[in-house]
Amino acid sequence: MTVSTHQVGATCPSCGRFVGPLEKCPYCGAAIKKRIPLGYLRIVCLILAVLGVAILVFAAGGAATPLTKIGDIGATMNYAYVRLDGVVTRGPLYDPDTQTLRFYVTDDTGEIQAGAFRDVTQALLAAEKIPAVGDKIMMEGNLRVRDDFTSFNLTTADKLQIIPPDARAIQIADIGFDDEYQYVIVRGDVRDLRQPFQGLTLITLGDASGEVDVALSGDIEKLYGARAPLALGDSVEARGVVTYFRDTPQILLRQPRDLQKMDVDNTAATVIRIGAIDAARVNQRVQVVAQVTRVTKFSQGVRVTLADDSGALTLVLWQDLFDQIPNAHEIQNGAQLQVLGKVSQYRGEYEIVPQRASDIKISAATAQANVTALPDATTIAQNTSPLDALTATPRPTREPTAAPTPRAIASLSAADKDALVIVNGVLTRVNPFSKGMRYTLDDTTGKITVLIWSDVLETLALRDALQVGAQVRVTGKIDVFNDMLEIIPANADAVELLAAAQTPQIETRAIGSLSADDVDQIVQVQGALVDLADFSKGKYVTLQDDSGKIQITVFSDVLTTVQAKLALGATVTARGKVNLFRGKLEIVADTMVIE
Amino acid sequence: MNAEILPLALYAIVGTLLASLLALIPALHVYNIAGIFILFAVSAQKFIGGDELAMLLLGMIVGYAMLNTVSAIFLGAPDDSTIFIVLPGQKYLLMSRGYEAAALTGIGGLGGIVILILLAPFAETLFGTLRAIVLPHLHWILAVIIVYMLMAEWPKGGDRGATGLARLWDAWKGLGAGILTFALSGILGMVLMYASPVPTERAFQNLLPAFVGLFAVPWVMDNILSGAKIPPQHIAKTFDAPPAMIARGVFSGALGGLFAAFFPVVTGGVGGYLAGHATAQRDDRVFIISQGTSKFLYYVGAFWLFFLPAARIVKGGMSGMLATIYTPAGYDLYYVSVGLIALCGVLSFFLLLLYSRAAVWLVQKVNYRYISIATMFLLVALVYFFTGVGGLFVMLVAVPIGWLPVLWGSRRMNCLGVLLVPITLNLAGLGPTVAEWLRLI
Amino acid sequence: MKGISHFITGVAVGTFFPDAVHAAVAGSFILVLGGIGGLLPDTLDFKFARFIEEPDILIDPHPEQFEAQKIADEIAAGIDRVGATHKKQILKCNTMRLGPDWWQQYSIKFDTQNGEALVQLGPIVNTSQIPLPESLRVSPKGRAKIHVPLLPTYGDFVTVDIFSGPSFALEWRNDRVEIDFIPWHRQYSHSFFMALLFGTLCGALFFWMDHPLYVTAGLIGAFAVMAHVLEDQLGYLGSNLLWPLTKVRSTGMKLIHAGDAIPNFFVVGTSCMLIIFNLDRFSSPPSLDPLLYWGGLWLPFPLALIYFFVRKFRADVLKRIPLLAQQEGDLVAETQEVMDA
Repeated sequence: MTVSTHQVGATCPSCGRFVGPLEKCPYCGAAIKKRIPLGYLRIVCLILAVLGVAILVFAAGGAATPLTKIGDIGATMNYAYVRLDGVVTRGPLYDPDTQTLRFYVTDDTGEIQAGAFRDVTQALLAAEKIPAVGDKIMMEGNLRVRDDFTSFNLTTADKLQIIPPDARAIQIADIGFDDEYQYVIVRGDVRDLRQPFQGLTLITLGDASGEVDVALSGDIEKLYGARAPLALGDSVEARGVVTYFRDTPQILLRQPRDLQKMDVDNTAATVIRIGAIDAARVNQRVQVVAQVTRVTKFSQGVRVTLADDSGALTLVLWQDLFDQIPNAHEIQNGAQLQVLGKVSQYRGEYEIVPQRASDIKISAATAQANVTALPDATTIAQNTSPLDALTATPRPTREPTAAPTPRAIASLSAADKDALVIVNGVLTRVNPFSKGMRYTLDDTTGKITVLIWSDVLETLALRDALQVGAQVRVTGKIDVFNDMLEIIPANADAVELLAAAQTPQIETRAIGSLSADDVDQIVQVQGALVDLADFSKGKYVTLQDDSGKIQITVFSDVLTTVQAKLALGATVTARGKVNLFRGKLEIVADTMVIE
Repeated sequence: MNAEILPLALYAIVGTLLASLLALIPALHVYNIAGIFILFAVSAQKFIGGDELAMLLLGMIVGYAMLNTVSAIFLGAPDDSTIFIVLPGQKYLLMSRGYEAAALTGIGGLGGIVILILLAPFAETLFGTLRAIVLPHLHWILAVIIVYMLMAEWPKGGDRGATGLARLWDAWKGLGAGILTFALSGILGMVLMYASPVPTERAFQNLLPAFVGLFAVPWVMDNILSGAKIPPQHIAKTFDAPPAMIARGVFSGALGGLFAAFFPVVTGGVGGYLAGHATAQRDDRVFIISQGTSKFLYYVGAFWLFFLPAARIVKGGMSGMLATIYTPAGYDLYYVSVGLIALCGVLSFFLLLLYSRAAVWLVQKVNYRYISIATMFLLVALVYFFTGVGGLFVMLVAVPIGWLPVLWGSRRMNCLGVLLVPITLNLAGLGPTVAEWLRLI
Repeated sequence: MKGISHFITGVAVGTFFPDAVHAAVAGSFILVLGGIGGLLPDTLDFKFARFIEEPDILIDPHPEQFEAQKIADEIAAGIDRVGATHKKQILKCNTMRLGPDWWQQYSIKFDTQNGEALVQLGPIVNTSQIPLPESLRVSPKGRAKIHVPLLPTYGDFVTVDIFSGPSFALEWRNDRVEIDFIPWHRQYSHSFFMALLFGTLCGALFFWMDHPLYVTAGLIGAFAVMAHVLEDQLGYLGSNLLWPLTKVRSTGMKLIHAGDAIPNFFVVGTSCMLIIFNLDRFSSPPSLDPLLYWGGLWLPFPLALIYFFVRKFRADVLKRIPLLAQQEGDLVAETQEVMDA
């Protein structure tokens, strides 16, 4: 090889040196003729590149973002930038730590989860453009399609348009399936306040026509601040969107300020004279003030005859309700009662049926005037039949003692903090934690957490018997933790086993064999964990076996027992109630075991 | 278990054989074929299960990762990850050593298999932890990569000139073209992300026309216009690469390939380039081996991470498409996938040697320019099939951008601005703002 | 050090600032300043300073009409001229390109013992500087007498082959001519002054953008440049640290060459591990166990470095390469890297 053997490429015709793509020799300055005028090509290419991009930007900028139907979204549309129009059906779910805002949108073809992140969330909050259930919205963003989940990421706050619904006043009893996602106004008095779990407040409102739960999610309070404090009996106006929870309507508040206290007490059921009750009042809620003229028992409760100067009617107190009335023993002849309840007709007679213990107010003055009293309501429930109690020989009222009083769980409130009480009930959930165990005790009036510290637990002989389904009596001090009531037994003797749990033998079912017929049944399935997704109160776990896939809703309390082993691919056995949620079967897990 | 693995293995082998046929067609990317599978996924899933489909695609990607070298070296049709092989690879081709270059990349690919097998038991901990740490930092890490790419492009001219200013201009012409290429491809990427002319029903192939326009078409056009003659090729029986050199190449390539497989947006070429710098490799042979490892690990590694039970990292086009219709489950499948990667990888290596011989014959018998013209038609047809007229428009815009580096002597890697710019901006939360500046939204 | 080593070191420096890491999580690009600062000194040299330098003696040989004697005469005359006028001269040797990947190599030597300039033709090499087989042709050497005293300098041949050729500053100092190899490199750009200047610019930029971390930005910029400058001190040729107070480049610590693979790999690997560790450390809650991380995962890097040093010192003892040769080797490696990249 010699130096004159140039590598393949262009050389200068004048000096013979390699010049590559140059048109002018850098060595001798000679002009180099090429087959193609490269200099021009460079310039043309440069112009075309810049011009092409400019035209593309101009053309693309002028085009409208394509409107897509949710039902049409498929695997090939991953990452597409689209516009979606629809109605918000769930949410907003807000995580202030990650600055994530999520909500669900439906159109006439399907539902999708939409989300905003970080800057977009902040911009939405700043602009107070927070989608709420019932809002009509138009939004632009990118689709993210996965095998098991499709979502939509909102691009900017500007690309979200919200049209809030118009609210209309409605009677509670008139709320029907057609009102789903309608924005309504209901007025009533607060009949109940409870927190089934942290992050959800349910306020039962009652008007003359009926009762409905008003739901306020913790996320809404995180976004807008806490709701105004309420007390039972407060008259309020609630504006919210009708949604359905397992076929029961509820009203979802869009903002805490949508629940307003009213100055005038005009929402409770009207106080009427007994004589005014006629067929037209049947199924309506009324309030009467009358005197007890007779108290009789029947197999499922107590009948009280009430009379005022216009007439008489029967007050029906079902046993469970009767047990919850704290001073039920004061219901006796001559007592003055104020009762709120639904009017019904039984064998031609009108009856009033209250729904909760607080619907019955007993005039203490009248009751105390009487030296004899009914035995303690709880005593009736536990030791004797109500009939026995009612027919028992009247005895003088006992002196109050410091001994704990058996109480219905529903009657307990934060005001009972540090009080020593007895509660009976069935264990519905068992939760270990680092310093002991938490049990959920249900007495049908409500639920309470039984907290047993490790030191007590170690001395508790019947520890192993404390399983889901076991009936127990717990004596302990009431405490409030995270706004939830707890009862804390001081020693092992404070926990008594009334009846051992009867664990039904549940056969493990193939996932594919589950159908709508199994709704509300307790089933057990086993499969590989193929997906995990968070929700505010726990995780959605998707299990798959050879026959199919199913989503298991696992709340945090169940989750804590298996958290450490939770990994994709793990074999999981889950037991729980089958639920049909928006046409899809799911299991709400009571127990979960991971191999 | 064996009874369950056997059909999966068969599907994987079929995938490899299918990819081996496709790899011979210049510029036909495996993702395009996978795209066809996804298009017909619903019907496909009726006669093959999810695991079988996944293994078929696994076989395809293994075959493609190993065999796309053939068209890249002999037929000059690179994609975003083979673009780095083509330079030294074509250098070898012009020195009659194209077969040797192909074999060296194959050796690199085999090294990649060994790396995957060694990493398999630790991958979940390693990548899971790493992902958790870097996830909130992706935007600036990508920006760091961009800055390095732009800052570390050094002038190629400027040696001769009457004045300092003239030399500076000569040097900066190429650098400026590189920066312009990056900026224009970045804007193109923004358009594709926010206002793509590609129909939304084909959004999963949104980048196809841009990639074809930026990488494949300019190269093919260059081949057509330059009319390069391929010298007679020598089929070597031995390879001039001692074990230490192979180890160096594989090590360097593994760093780059794994980085690219794991890290969003980074392609095998970029990963290999960074790793090559980091390990200070200069020898052409080490470079070719390392690029073989890097691109194998980029394509296959990214798909392999998809099967990691707890991490389930969706990175790369193939997993991105498959994730829309399938979710892998369990450690068994993960280890089966590792085993089948090894099986298909070894099969692909022997196919690579076979096909390289065929390619040697082909380039000597058929005019290189004709092959390039046929490739060009195929590219246009592909773009039209997948993305319609809108896609063709995007491709036409991308071609001059992709040609800028060729004509102005800058790095073609700058074309990756099409991915890096929109993703980095989006991760930093700035994408919509820039899109608004451009009046795209 | 290689460019990527300097760059990643700069990024790692930035991650030592917790407020910068927190800002990065919130979407800031502040840590990129570290990378820019890390590569800035070489960017200034190789993208600007190099082209602005005006050669006084330009050697631009023709591959087919290579005249070694004529080149040697020109070099010797240039050195003599410096002796006569005491004025600095810049000698630039251009390369000879034969094709896209081929270069005709030649070499020059300043023989300080015999007072001669020597020139000889070399083989054809590819861009990886690997000679092509049978490409070395017989060609007469050039030899020209230098008539002024020369500072004993690098005594071996300097090869001129790929991309841009080397340049030399010929300067009259202490009654003799001193030869400075690639004089435009590692001067003001590799000084404390540059660290201060870039840090100030970064701080000012962030202050102007109304960013609360302008002090941190300034510190990251300054420390990143400093890290580059200090890393270069590990080599054979340091830099002009105290520019503009001093005019000459100092001698480095003579530990490594810029192109050595293992030290570069060590720096890149360690920097990457530092970055990951710092990102984890400043996030809540940290997930890495420091003992396992540094005691286990990092271990291969120092082990490789120890292996490198053991081998290197053995080789150094055997070869006894003069310091100037080592310094030149350092510059060659660095120059070639940036050309090649």
